[in-house]
Order: sequence, then C-alpha cells, then structure tokens
Amino acid sequence: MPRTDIAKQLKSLRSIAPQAEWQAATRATLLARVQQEAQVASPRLGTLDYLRLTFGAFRHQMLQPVVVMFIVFGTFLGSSVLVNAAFYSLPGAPLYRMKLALEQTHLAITSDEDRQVELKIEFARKRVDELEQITYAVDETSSPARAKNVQLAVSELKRTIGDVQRHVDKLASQTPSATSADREKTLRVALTIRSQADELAKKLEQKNALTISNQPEEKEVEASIAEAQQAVAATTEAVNHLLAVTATSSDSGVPVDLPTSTSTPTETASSTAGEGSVQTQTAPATTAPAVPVGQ
Amino acid sequence: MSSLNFHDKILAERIKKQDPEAIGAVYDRYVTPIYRFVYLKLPSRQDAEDITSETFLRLWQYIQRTKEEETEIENVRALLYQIARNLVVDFYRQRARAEEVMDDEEKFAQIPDVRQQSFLSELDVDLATQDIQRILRQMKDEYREVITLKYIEQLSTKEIADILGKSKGAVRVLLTRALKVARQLIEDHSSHATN
Repeated sequence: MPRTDIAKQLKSLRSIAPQAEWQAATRATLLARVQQEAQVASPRLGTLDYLRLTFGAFRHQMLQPVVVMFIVFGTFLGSSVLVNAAFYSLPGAPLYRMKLALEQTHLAITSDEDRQVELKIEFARKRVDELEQITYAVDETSSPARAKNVQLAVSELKRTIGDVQRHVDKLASQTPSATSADREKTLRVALTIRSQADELAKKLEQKNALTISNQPEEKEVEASIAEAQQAVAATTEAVNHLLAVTATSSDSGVPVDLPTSTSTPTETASSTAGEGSVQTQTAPATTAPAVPVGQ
Repeated sequence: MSSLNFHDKILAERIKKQDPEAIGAVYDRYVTPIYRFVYLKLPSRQDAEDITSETFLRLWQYIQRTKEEETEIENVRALLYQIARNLVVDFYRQRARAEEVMDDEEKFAQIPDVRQQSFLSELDVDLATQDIQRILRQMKDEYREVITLKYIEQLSTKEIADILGKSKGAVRVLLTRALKVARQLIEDHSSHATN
C-alpha cells in the first residue's frame, strides 16, 4: 500500500471522538472546580501582555535578514524625517529642543575651533531668522506664548553670540605671540565674524522696528531683542579690537584692506537706545581700522 | 495546519493567569484530540474518558502549583499531550502492580470485560477505521504514538518532538520506522483477509 494511502487511512481515525454527554459533564465538573479554586482577581491580559505576545509570535520573522534590513532602513528613514522636521522647527515647537541639541552635537563633533565659530555664527543667524518667522507668522499662538518663544530664541542667540565673543577675545590674547600664518588666519576669521555680526545687527534692528506695540508682551520682546543687539555690538567691538591687535602686531604684510564695519557698535547701541526701552552700554573707543593690515 | 498560532499563545497567557474562561476554552479546543490520543493507547473507552478528564485536572493543578512568573507554558497543546502520556504510563504501571497481586482466576475474569468494552467502543466508528485501529494497537507504543500525533492529530515534527522529549531528527527516524511497520501490518492484514 502506498504511503499516502496509509496516511489517508490513518486520517480517518479523526472520527474518533468522546461522547457529547460525557464531554459536557466533564467540562462542567472541571470549570466548577476551577471557578472555586481560582484566586486571581483580574485574570485579563493587559496591553503589555499583548505586546509581549505579539513580539514573541513574530520574533522568528523579525530576525530574518530581509526584515532586519527593512527595520534598519525604516529607522534610518524615520530618523531622517525627524531630523528634517526638527531642522525647520521654530521656538515653541515640540522638536525645537531637538534642533538645538542637534546643533550642539554638530559643534561637539567639530574639532577645528575656527569652524566651530563659523558654525556658531550660522546658528546665531538661524535664531534671527526664527525671530522673523515668529513675528510674521499668522497663527493662533497667543501673544504671551509668542513672547515666550521669542525669549527662547533670543536667549539662545545671546548665548551663541557670547561664545563667539569669547572666542574672539581668546584670539586677540593669542595674536601678539602668534606666527604670521596664524595671524593671517585670525584676520580672515575676524573679518568673517565682523561681516556676519554686521548682518545680524541689521536684521535685529529691522526686527525691533517691527515690534512696536503697546502690549506688555511686545515690550518684553523688544527688550530682549535690544539685549541681543547689545551682545552683537559687543562682539563687533571685540572683533574690531582683534583686527586692531592683528594689524599692529603683524609683520607678514598680508595685503588685505579691512572694510569698515557698516554697523558699528556705537550706531547699533544708539539706535537701540533711540527706541527708549533699554539703556545700552557706552560704545567703545576702538573702531575698525580703515587701513591695510601689515603696514 | 497544526502549527502553533497566536490564538494558542493568548490562551497560554490567559491560563497562566488562572482565567477560568481560558481553561474552558482550552478544554473545548483540545478535549477531542487528547481523548483520541489516549483512546488509541488504552484498552477501553472508559479508561480513555478517565485519563482525558484527569489530564485537564492535572493541567489546572500544574497552573495552580506554579506562580505566574514561574510558569513556562510555551505550548498548551504540547503540555496536555505530555500530561496525558504520563497518565497513560501511570495507568499501565498501576495495572501491572494490580495484576501482580491478582490471582489467575481474577485475571481471566477481567479479560472478557475489557474486550467487551473495547468492542463496544469500536461500534462508534466505521469498519475501515476499525481495521486501522486494530493495526495501530498491534504496534509498539512509541510507533503508535508518533503515527497518531503525525497523521491523525497532524502536529508538526517540532511539536511531536516537544511532546515526546526527542529531537526532530529522532522523531523523523521514528516516524519512518513506524510507517514501515504499519505498512507491513496492513499488508499482512490484507493478505490474511483475502485468505
């Protein structure tokens, strides 16, 4: 007899079954005992139980190479989308903190100090752009909430600008003993910073001009922006000092014409003071030297 | 197919939590296969019924004995078959002990009764299955067991291996030998019937 026939014959034994009366009686006896002895108050499965079971049921499939590849790809894609979403987030948005954290990570993995300063300036520009977007955004954000968001952006801006200023001060202290190559590098960094600081100062001035309002929150915003302007002005001042130090101590004869800062600390501070809201610091005596370096 | 599905896993989790409804569901799902399994190993329907009901009671006791976090029930069905197998072994062990103390007269008196019960139980199935049953009962217990689980209950090789406490390879070898013996017995039966 072929093997399949044996299997078919054996399958016919599935007709063997207990008698229905016995089956019902045994069930009743068993459940009566179980009901009497069961001592668990809440035998139902919870969400965690179902999650564990689902993972357990698909564990084998989940460990397949193709599935692992899809999971890795999906995670990567999901992360990219998240990072992208964070990149465009504004103060007050859920992902804004992530954006700041990503910037700090970017700084942490950058070893070159000059590149770090460039990044910080770039981040400062982002803060100013965010300020603009918050101001122009027509949404349902309440005035106090918007003021809070502005405060957050300005506070980050001041912190970043403060870091840049400290870097500039450090460069200024190192310049007298620096080699000509280092001084040339410092000069280029200083010029870049000053150019960016000028741009920031202009943007902040425009921004502050837009926030004239009688609302108390708007007054707070105005004061915050004025503080940011002060920080930028102080940085410009530090850069000008650095340029002066570099020019006087340089013997390399780098043929670079230093452009005059379009927005000097004095001008920025006075324009802020003109709004009558914040008392600004007195402008320093040192201004950008309008002479070629090395002469 | 007989592979363990998500429903079985949920049942296992629920009985670990001593859920009476789950015990009822397990009973409804497995009472017939377990009965069939023991029926083919035991001499009478009555014995099969006793061992089947005892199997479910033992399952309940096992759950009660062990705390929820300590209870490792991966596969309720496999656990039930294991309990049933052990009970069948106990059945024959007790019977052997009883026979030792029984005198010959009593022993002879018992035989017709068992045969009668067996005959009565076989009236419930048709003739073709009766022949197959007879052939199965002539086989060694481990051959009968593996054939029952594979071809009647249609369990996977892995599940059979779990129930019998053997490797999958050992189960395949056992199954090949069991089929060879079954084929020989069927051929013998056929030639005997034609003569």
